[in-house]
Amino acid sequence: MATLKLIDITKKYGNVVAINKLNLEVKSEELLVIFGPSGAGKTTLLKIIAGVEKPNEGQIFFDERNLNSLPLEQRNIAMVFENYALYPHFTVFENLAFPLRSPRQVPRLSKNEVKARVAKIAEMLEIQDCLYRKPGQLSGGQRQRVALGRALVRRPSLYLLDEPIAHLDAKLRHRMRGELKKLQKDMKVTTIYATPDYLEGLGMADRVVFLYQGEILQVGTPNEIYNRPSNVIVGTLVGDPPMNFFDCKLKQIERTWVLEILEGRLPLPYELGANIAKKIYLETAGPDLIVGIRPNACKVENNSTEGTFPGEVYVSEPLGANTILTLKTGDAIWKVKLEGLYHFQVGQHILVRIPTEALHFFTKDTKQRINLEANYERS
Amino acid sequence: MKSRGLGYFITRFFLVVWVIFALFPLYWTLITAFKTPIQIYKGPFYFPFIDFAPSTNSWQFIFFGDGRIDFLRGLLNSILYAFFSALLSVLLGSISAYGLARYSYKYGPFKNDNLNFLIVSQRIMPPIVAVIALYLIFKFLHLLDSGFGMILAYTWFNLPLAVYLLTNFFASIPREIEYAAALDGYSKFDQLRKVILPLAAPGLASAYLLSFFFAWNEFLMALMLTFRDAQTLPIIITTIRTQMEPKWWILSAIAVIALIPPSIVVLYLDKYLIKGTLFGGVR
Repeated sequence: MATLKLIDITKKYGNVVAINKLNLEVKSEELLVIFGPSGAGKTTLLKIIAGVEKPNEGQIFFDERNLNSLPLEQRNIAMVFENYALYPHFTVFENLAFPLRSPRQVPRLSKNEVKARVAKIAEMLEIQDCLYRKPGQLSGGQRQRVALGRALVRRPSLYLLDEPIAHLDAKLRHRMRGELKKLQKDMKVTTIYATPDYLEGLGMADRVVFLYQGEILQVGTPNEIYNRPSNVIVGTLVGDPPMNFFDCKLKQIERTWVLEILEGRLPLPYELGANIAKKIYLETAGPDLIVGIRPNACKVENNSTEGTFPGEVYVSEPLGANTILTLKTGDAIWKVKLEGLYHFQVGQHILVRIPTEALHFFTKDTKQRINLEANYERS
Repeated sequence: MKSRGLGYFITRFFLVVWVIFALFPLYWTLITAFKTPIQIYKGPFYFPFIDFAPSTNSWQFIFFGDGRIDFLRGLLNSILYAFFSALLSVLLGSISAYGLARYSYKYGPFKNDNLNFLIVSQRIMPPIVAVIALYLIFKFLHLLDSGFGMILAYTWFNLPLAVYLLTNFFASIPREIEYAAALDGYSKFDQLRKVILPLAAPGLASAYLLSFFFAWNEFLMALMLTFRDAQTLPIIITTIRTQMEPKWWILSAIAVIALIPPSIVVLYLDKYLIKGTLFGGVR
């Protein structure tokens, strides 16, 4: 089946390494999201696959066929460019029909078939009213939809979508996410989708590739990316508000393992503590580590018990369904996301429970996840 | 009504002065073409039908008189040279300009920018420096006083400017648009024909116009490289002026005719010169 393989791809612009020794396999018919902050190399990677950029090193295979020296027009790839790349001298209709009229469109489509397919895609993208305008007369969101339509109108062996809905208004973007996902499942065309928006990434992907500074930090299902971030950067960039991280020490006091965190102590279940201790003492030879906790895993409590920590309300953002608190404990600033609408006074002192089962552990020096034995891992 | 300040009237005043300054020579040429020698030498007359009676004697001379053959041949030569040399300049110029805009070259220490400068630097040198050498080359190649030779000479001179102008123009067309056409399944030739050339039309049109104007007005090379059969209109104009006394009336009539072909070219190419053809293509 149609799998795409990237082997040791390296791309440099002068002395800047945009993609560094990247290996990736894209399965047939899957929707693979390349997620990463701006500058991560998402666009460069897509351009290399499309053939727009030549990699300095590495091989690309599609269906066991080497793509490196295959001209763009023979690759049968449809791409949505981040900057749209519409044909400004054509109307929207002509833009959308252009790929259908290409000499590589086999079998040739009749005029009516072209019209019907353009009309169908225009309706889906809600641009049927501007078919006879030129791109210069459209709004930014409409232009982006034309760019998306020009790719979706035909059925290639691979879609490359570079932030294809980033500039639509929130409502339409939300709808398009679902539509695109459904369309991809219906058409069964392998799709690579680049986005800096983690909601888009997690919501649409079969698998997510987390790209950072030209290197892959993690490949996994949306569930794995969210629940088992492979390092501190993944944890920071996936989720909103981002995961809280605390530098802390793991110590054994009498028969209990405790984390020294937020000027207090958090006792861990013995097995868990021992498990982590074994890992960090073996790997880093010290008690230091980083723990991460998602803001929505924390709970506000009324009574001070073991595992609760005091915090002074620094900012309170009531957002309807949620309330996001920014707390200050000693020098640390951290966030808590509560379900429901609450009103807190700035400066108010509250108690927050940090549940030990929701903690993520990372080594202090490499910032990598500490992989625990199976029964302590979250699914 | 908004009250208009002093600045408004001062700008208008200078604009009116400028318009008179720019249009008066044209007006003077036009009325001189309809004057008799006596009306010209007797002192300035400004308005036809008011202070002088227009005459068509200069027009009769150039269309039906002794000067007819020379004049018509010069006119035809000028039109042919300007038309074809401009066409060749744009054709050849766009090919090399596209290459310079899209591909990276390196010949020893010379990269694209150096090559571009090297090409345009040919226009730094005044043509008079080259014209002697050109004369010798043309003599050796038996191109003196030939239409083909003149077209070649004008193309040689116009090409650097066309390349320079078009390189910048092609570079301003986003590469992504070309890549999009490639991914849509079009070959390189189709990408150029269907996407790049239509987008470059304003650049091609202005390069054509500039080349046309240069060839139309050029004097020095025509003077050195033509004698009789291949003479151009500017040469004809000067030969008329230098016979015994300046025949301003004939000169003016030819000048008026000489304005017509470039004007037609401008009017025709005007629709391609519209700006903003690239607007809306990329974010």
